[in-house]
Amino acid sequence: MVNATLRQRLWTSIRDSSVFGVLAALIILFVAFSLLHPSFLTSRNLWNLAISISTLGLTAAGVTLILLVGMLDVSTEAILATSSVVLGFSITTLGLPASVGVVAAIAVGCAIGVINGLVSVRFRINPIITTLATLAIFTGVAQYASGMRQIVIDAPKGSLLWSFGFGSVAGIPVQVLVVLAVYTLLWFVLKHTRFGRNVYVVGGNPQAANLVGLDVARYRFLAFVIMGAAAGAASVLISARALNGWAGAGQGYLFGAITAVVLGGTSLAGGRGGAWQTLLAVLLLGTLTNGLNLLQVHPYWQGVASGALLLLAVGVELLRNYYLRRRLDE
Amino acid sequence: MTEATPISNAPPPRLAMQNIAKFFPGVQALCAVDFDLLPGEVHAVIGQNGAGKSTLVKIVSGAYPPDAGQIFLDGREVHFHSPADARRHGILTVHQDWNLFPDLSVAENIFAGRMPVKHGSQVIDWERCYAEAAEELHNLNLDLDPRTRVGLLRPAQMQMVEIVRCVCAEASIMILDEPTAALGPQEIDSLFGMIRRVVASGVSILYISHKLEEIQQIANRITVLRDGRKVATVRAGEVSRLDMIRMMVGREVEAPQKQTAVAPGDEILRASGLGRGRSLNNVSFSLRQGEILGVFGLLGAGQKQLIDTLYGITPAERGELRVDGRPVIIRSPEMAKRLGFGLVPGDRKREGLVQMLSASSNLTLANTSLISRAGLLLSPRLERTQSTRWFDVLDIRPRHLDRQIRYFSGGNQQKVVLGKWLQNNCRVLILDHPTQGVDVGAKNEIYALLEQLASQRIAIILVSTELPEVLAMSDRILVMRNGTVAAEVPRREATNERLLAYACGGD
Repeated sequence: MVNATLRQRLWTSIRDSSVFGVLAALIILFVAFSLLHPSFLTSRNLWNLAISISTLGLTAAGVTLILLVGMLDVSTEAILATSSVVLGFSITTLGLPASVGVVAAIAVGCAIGVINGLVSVRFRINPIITTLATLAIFTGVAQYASGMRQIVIDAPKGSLLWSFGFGSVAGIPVQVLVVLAVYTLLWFVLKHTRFGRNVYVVGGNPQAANLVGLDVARYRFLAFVIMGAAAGAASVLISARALNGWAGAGQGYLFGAITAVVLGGTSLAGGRGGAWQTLLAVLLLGTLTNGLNLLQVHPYWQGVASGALLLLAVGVELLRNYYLRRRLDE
Repeated sequence: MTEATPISNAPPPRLAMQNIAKFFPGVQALCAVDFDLLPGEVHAVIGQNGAGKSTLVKIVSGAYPPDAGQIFLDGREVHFHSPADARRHGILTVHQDWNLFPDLSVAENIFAGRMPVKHGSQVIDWERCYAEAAEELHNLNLDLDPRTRVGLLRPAQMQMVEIVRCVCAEASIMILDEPTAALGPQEIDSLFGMIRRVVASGVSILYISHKLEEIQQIANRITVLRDGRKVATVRAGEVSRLDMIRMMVGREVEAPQKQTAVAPGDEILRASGLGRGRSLNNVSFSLRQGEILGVFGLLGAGQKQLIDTLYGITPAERGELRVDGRPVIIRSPEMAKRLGFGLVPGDRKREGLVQMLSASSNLTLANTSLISRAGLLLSPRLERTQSTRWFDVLDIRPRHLDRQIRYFSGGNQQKVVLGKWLQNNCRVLILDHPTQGVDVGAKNEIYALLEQLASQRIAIILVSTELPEVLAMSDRILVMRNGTVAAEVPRREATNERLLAYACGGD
């Protein structure tokens, strides 16, 4: 009988949590794909699924933070491209150690974040305009610097870069471990540090934040820099798996990342959302793509499916809020 | 007496309102008010805040239906279902915040929604548009190019464009709500010139203003409201400003008086000659520990600018501030906070709270170091004990620490806003209309809290346009007018009438 109340409390907390819609959709998709295709639930496919979402996951972590402080960054794909080219250039062209290349790639991501932050926060240019500009600039830079060639990276089995792409620890792919570590860190920072609390305050009501003496600009600037670092790290994972540095490395990630973050319930207006919600939504998008690929659905239709999913999630969220408010009013 | 209609020489009123009443939950906003507007007159409505002026305007303009009473337009009874409905009957409002399109031209603004089109098509006839706009501007003696972008105009010119728009829309009744709030003296003169020309063409104007001097210049008749009732309707030439103030105030209101007069301590803040732009000039005052300094003034007398300057939102350009005797320049709210200032802002929802966060997060957000370990990590346990304590001290109900703040009542929200400063060892607390949108019970609790804070030697600046509140709570009162201090009145000499006279510029 103790279990009954516990179950009920668990159910209430799931129902009232903002991930309800995403979680429900994820379960439905899992059940549906397992019934429709025999190899969906195999460990090999789940391994593939996990790896396929890790780069999107890393990028989405950065996007979550940017949206939470009430900003937007559309230059993500340019950061992925530039970092990838820098990685290839430093390892293959300059012959530097892989570890230096990895640091350089992430540092370049941070640097672009610094530019985004300075222009949109200090000089108060609309962040969409700012990051559209850096998107164009750094896509161009990456393409010019690489001559649009893929810079092949030689990473022998067991080397640092190889393990980022293909290694595993205790049967779990390194890529997945990296993502789990990043999300644990993001969750911890958002939930358990003063910085994290202030992120919600700044994003939720910048005016009130200013009036209690918070430096709104500083939080927003830092979010851009962290976004840059996250994209730089994601780029390392992509390049390690492709074993090349390429200006086309980032294609399609911006749409995926923003879709995932919004799907996870993070508000475009800032101040609402969180780490695990985003990760769950990334998993949902990855599962959708993976399952549809198995079923050999044409990629065009996959786009339609993920768009429809986004609208559906928003609809569910609206309904849920409506009922929650009605219950509170009673 | 016969039953025939009375014969009189006066023209029949364009608008006649009889026995109008309006209730809101817990308040009677208007009670048995009669009001009429003759063709071609300016009829001013005056009264203190909360006297019922804006409710009356909203009923005339169709925003609220009256709960009782009748409205006649040109002798026929009408019922307005919406502002659009009233507009169709020729009643137009010129708002305080202008409803203009800054990126469109003067002509486009005048004809917004009714642009002249070429015969039998949907194509805009630009030639006719500019020609007609130019003609209208000329008729009202306005020297404006109809092609100018409205965003480039001065406030007075914008106001006039809006009036031209109403004239062109064939308004028979225009409502002007505080039309001079943002204008300088010369601009007011030219606005009044324009109003006279509009009235000469037969339009009737319902004029709302706090500025009695201007009302004497422009109004034909004046109706005074007090506590939702009509006091009198008088001819403008027959009353003095002091008469008007007496009618607005009525008898002295018994307000809950501050119980304990704490002997004020050392001087903590001194402002000399503070100024910024045109809106704040030469403001000087001093403030001592444990003192409640009331700042009274009509809306837009510079109180907001004073708060912004003291709190570093828009730093002062002139003058000097001393805290504890040392000169300081407060450049940002962050600096103000470090000096021990706290602000309870006037717009609780937009400036005071983070709606999506819980009550407890809002309560602790001014100083998260108090709920952290090692200055960095939040401690849920500390947050819980800390918020529970303040929930008790402030008696915030319901006791749901984790519920989002937006689900709390106005009074409890305000207590949270106040509470966040109390944890912060605040020494100078600035409150901007702290009891706005707060029910009576919570109001009294907030008053009691302020007294308690004063007894703990916190210096309090209470900014309000509510006279009873300022009178009841303050040890001293600064009266502001036109961006400067019009008078400093000690508590024992302060009366309703005197404060209003200073605020209105009465003699």
